[in-house]
Amino acid sequence: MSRNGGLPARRAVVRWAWRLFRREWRQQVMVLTLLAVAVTAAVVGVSAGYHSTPPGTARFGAASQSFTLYAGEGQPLDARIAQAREWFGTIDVVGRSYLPVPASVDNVELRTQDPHGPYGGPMLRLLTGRYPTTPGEAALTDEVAADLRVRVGGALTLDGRSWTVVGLVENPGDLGAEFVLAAPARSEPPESVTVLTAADPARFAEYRARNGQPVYELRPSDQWVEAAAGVFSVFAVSMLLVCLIAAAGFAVVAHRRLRQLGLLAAVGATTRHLRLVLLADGAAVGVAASAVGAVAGVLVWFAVTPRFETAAGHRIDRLDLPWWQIAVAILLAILTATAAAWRPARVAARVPITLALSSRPPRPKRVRRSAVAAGVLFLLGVVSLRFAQRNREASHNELEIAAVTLIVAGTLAIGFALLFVGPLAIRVLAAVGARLPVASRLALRDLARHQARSSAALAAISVALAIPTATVVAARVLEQTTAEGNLSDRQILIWTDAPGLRVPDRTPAQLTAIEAQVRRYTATLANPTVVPLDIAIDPVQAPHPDVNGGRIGRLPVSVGASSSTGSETVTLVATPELLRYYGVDPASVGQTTQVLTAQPHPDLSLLSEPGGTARPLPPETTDRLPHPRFESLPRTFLTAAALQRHNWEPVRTGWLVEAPSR
Amino acid sequence: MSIRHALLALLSEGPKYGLQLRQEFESRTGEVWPLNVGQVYTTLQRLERDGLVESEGSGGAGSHNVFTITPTGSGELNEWLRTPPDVVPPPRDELVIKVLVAMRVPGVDLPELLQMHRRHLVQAMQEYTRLKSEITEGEVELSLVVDSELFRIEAIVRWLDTADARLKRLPARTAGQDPTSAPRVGRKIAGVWR
Amino acid sequence: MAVSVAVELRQVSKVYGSGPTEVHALREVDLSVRGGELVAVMGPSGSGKSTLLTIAGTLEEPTSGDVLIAGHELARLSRNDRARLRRRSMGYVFQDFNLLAGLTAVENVALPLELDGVRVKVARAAAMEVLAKLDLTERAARYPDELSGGESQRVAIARAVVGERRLLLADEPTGALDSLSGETVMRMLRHACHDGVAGVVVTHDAQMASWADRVVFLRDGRVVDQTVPSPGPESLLAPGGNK
Repeated sequence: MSRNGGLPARRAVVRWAWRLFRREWRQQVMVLTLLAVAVTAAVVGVSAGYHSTPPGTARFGAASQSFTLYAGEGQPLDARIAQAREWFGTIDVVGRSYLPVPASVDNVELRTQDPHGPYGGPMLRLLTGRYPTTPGEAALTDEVAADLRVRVGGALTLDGRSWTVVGLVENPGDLGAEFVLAAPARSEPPESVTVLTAADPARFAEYRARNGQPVYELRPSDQWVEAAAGVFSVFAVSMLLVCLIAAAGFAVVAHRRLRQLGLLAAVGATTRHLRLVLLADGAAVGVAASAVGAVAGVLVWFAVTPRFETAAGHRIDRLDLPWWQIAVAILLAILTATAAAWRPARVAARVPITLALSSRPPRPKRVRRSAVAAGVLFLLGVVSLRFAQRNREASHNELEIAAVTLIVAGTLAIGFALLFVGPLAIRVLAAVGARLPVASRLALRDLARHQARSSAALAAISVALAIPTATVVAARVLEQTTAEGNLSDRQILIWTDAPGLRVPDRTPAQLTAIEAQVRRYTATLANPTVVPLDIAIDPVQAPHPDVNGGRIGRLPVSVGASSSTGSETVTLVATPELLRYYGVDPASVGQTTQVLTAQPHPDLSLLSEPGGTARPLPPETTDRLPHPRFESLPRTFLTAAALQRHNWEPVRTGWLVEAPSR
Repeated sequence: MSIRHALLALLSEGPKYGLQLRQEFESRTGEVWPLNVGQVYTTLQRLERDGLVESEGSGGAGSHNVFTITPTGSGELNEWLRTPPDVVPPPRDELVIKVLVAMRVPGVDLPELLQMHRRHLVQAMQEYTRLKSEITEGEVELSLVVDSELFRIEAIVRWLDTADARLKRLPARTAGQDPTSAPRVGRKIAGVWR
Repeated sequence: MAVSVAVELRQVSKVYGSGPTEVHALREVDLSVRGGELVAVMGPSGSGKSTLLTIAGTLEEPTSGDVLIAGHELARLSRNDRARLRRRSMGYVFQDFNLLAGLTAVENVALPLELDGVRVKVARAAAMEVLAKLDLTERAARYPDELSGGESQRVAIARAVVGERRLLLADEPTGALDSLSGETVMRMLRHACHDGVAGVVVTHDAQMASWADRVVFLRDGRVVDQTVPSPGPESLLAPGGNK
């Protein structure tokens, strides 16, 4: 038998708390509703976040890797597919060709795929009709059917080939994908095939190394985590609010039960037991609210799934919910309720037994320090915000973590200052209220007399106000003026091909036509500066479609740090005009200099077609370019010498237009 | 307590010997109200004289006579049961008089005096209560009698408590300043003209 | 001697507040109650009788003086020790609302034992036994709001005596009852005391106080008088004293 009654005592106390909750849950209906709504919102939000990113099945089906083989690269596709099948055992092959659509500049994808393939099954879903089984049959996605004006049972003719349309299909993982699905046929080899595998990563890597590093993709994992985490952090903040409001509710409950708690103490319960009563009550509220909230949330989710499918662009399995996140949300709600009960429980457990028995809580001590604390905090908040702003003025452009920290800290400080000033404000209000009519006088006096309740409510309101205030203040501080940002208000960048995309071959006539369009536009400006922008391509490379099959062309040469991925930037050819625009004398560029950059990095490489080798740049071949004032202006240039050296060709890609300042 | 009516009540159950009457009377209330033989026979003689009971047997009020209630006697008993008890005019209560007197006697510690009386009364109540605790459930009559005594004494205790509180509130009176009660004559209180 | 004295107050004073609002609830009170004795504390409102009870029941601490309960000096005990003393050695009966809503009669009675770490089954069995003694078996499964006032008080007494209690403290236990229910409750208290428990009943009702073996009179925080144990019921017949 332990000193303080041990488990039997705690069990008895919790049993009582639970009975009380069952009897008197109506008294806590506000807190219950609040929590339940929060949990409902969290469940729906987390589920939405979970499903907002396209699922891996859109591109991988049940596979975990894919790589793409292009026709016209070395061996015939069939032989390479057979080799891959031998290497991996089970593979699934999706063939792709791009057929021109009559009277349109668009292509339509012709996909050859076995709908019952080992991995590709989840990538297809039959809406009506049936899947194509013979080479003369095809199924369409809804938009292709609409664009080409064919129905199930009709005939489709494209690029001199014709099919009987036997069904409507979709990719449930990507409702935006539009294609013509045909049965795999030996007679019409596709332009490229995507091979789906579910091999051991090491074996997959080995295959790539042995077979000329084909373009590959690995199934992304946990992309949804980010979105769900966003929802979750909002939920966590709202839980803080709920916690404060709930604390006020629990203070009322504690006050109501004071006599019973006194009785329990007289019967021999320790302070800990008394606290446990209210904590258990809090937990019970949490459990009940989250149970209701979770069920409501799942039901709401079921109801909104059809609409959400359209928005997210993929089909959603209703029962595929982020269960563990929901579990965490529920747990957090229970924790919130318990935490909210903590302070009232502590206070109630410390009330002298005789006062508790007579239901008279002791007069709360007046918090004199609060006003001083409020002042200090307010001052701190204002100073840090002010400092953040000054900091920002000094070094425009970079938004340092320090500045963000200052802003957040400043806002929080002001929020807490509001909190501390609460009791004082209540007292002042009550004093002022002495002259008011009875109803408002009573309300104000009650507020002042029961500070435990009112201050928690006040805290909730303060935090609720502090969050939008913080957002507004931060937004104001971070707002960009016309002197900074991505481009000035007098500049415009016109791209024929969005940076990073494959550049298709254009005839000189096409290019002239585009330029004429641009000139027509710039002619409307008074005396503009128009700087043509060129990129470099490797003419040896064959034009390829990109991963999605949309654009056929070559990738421009770019400069990037080979040690890190994704840091490539638009790399333009340093024409004399461009150099002059940047204030650099073209004659001053050394003959050995290959790259001019505003972002020097120790190990820059020249990158061309994927799979091609990166060419490291010795540091002496790079030169410093003055930093452009605006973020979107190009920062890395290839010199004419570099083009000459590698036999690259410049291709027009856009224009930089600047209107003269007024 | 009217012995007359108590005896009539006993006889209303049926004819009884004089001795029997006395035993029955004592068995029900005797522990509180002891009764001597003489009282019983004197009362019986008076009842017979008034025509409320009849006796048969050896004549006179002997213990072996059988007494029977007459119709007149039954009438008298019924009427008596419905007559309000004699609460007015007020008795000259001894304790009240003692306290009133004590207020005028110099050097008497009134609270102490009241407490002394209170203690005596509570002790008496303790004794009655002890008796009550020994009474079995069947002895209803005795319980009723004990209760009535307890309530009566309790009333006095409560009067003492009130007197105590009233006197405590009273400002110290200086000698010679004796506020007289205003005369309230010619008023009917509880059925009695003053 | 020390063992048989269940509770002893030595020169106990209690002052509430300070300065001009100072109230002397108790002034140097001496009181000791033996096991098996039922003591009634009588006095007008504000005489300090409830304070006496809360101090004897460890719910409050005296401003000065010593309190000994079952030989333990209260001042030396920690909060938790005092809580343990309450659930093991003493039982409380208040004027009303003695029972925890939400627990049945038997659960209420078993509560002090459960708080002391006794397993549920054992505690329930003990509680049922006490309830049976007080003729409350068929009320065991009722909730407090389904019991009459008298029944509630009887259940409260059952809770106050369950287990091995030494001290039973009652604050106006019959205050909210009619006189017959009150009598039943007092009978039970007295019965419990005669089983070896020391009892202290605070009341302003002379009839209820007269159930005690000894009546202590309190006035303005001081013990001013007490009854002397009577020789026996035969004194009733003696003239004087009661008439």
